[in-house]
Amino acid sequence: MLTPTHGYTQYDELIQEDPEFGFRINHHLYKDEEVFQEEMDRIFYKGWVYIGHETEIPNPNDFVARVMGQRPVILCRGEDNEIRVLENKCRHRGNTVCQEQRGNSKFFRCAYHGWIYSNTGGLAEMTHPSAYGERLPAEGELDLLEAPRIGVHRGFIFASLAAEGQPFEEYLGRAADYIDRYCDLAPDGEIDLSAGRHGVSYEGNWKMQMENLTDAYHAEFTHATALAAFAANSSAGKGKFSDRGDLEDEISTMRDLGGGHVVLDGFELNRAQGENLQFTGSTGTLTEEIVGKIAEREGSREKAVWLTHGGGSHITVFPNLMILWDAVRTIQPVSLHKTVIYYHPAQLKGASQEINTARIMAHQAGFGPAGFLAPDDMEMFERTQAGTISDTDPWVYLNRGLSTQRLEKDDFGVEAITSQYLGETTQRGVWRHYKKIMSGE
Amino acid sequence: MNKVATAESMDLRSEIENFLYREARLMDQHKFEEWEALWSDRAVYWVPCAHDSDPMTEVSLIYANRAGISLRLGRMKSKAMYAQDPRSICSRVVGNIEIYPRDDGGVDTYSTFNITEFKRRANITRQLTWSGHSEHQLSRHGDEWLMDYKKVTLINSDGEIPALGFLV
Repeated sequence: MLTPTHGYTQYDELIQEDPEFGFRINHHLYKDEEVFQEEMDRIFYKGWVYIGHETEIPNPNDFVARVMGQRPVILCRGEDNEIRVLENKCRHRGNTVCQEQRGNSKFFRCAYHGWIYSNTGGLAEMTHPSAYGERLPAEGELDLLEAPRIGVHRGFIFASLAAEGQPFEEYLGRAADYIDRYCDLAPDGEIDLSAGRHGVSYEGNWKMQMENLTDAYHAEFTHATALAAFAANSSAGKGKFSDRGDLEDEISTMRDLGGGHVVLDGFELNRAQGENLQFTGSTGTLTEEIVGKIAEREGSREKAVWLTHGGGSHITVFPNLMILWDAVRTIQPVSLHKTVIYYHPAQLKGASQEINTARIMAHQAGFGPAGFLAPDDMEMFERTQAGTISDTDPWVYLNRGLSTQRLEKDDFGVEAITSQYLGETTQRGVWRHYKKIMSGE
Repeated sequence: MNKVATAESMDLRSEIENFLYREARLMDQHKFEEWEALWSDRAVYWVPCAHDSDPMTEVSLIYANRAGISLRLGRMKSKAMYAQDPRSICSRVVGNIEIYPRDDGGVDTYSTFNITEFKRRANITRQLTWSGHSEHQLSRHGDEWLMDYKKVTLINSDGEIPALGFLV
């Protein structure tokens, strides 16, 4: 059994690296309530988390309801056009003050005793204040609590509930390059997440999805039926799922960018394959539209071909943002054993509606609760969770690619720990960072 | 809409009700080929995500034409669609059927459904309920009715829902 000291889990006992056995993690991490609560505190409340995108709240007074960790919050653009993350909790009795998922409102009103807050967080009206007498709270004392720090990069909004800590740019680190690349493949250099979202729930721990996006190993097996279907349907799958053969062994792809950010870097693989416009969702005549518009922007057709044929980013940004193909995903932990994944199709600003509709269609064929890919992932997460009940051997060994990984320059010319396609460098990268955060380093 | 029934209209109602009940059974029993045969070549199969959305500019749970339906069913027939291995045991009730004959001889229908889904996996069992309504557009092809259009609205379609691996 583990021996807790100071009432906290000993993460160096649960995530271990050693020349003898390599790299291993303990199943305890997926099923212990104390671990989950410590994750909420150290990762989701003290750290930076992705909260939403500017295009979801384009106008003054727009808002979307979100959850940070387990806490309900409102991501809103105030009357003053400032973006804020407000705790969705009345300062009187603690009721949630916003029940809608999205909308446009200057005020949030608590229905219990009628307190009204402006969308800049201020308490605009306290009903019958005279009853407080001399104990009337001071101006500003009972405003909605606000995330003290907000960071925005290319429209992606991150927030931290801690007033002090790692600066935003340092947190985002090398993930910024990959977010930039994703946006650069839109003719106007921006993506648009206003096409709605899918929410898929599974009965399993949130970290299973965190590890899964950059697990290339499972695709051939978990997604066998989807790969077969897409290969048979050239319009939906051209260049996306065709057989890459030995290329996957020859071209390095799994990269640990540090800070818990990991990528399945397919840029060189895609270019070597000759044609790959998976990110743009474009085929046939639509291809020329994207390449042409980007060539105009960049002043170079060669660069446009290099960019578009490299495809989009495939990245997990610690702890809860994922970007792949036609959509941006977020992980929402609900409880120790329950998680929701939200998928937001990403439209390309400056592209024709024909292309963006094709992207929405390509996304929904794969993902969402009835897609060709997501349900099989959720099934695997639930089976993993079901298996963790057995403690006879609680260890998961993540040794694939460990003996061959090395420092290698990525598409941006920066060195990253790298292994071949079927390596587990990405899982190790996530867990190393997790251990650091959870150990309070 | 509150017209007095005639023998003819009662016959039509009975035919259409039978169609919808049979469709429900084929979906419960995972009879993919027989269900596919209920579609005409004009098929549009739509399961919206947000209510009142536009499938061309907003994400749906499913939006498929005839070829897309075939592709989807091809995957569902496979044992390697793990989200349905083993397959869910489903029982659904279709009710509140409204039938609106069109001038072209076809009919539009509105009906509600309640589905109970049972899943068993190794050491876990789960029973879920799904609910919503369907809008069908049917037309006559020779001596049979076929679906040209089917829109299925789940009451929780824009919420957080588990994998939807069986037919709705």
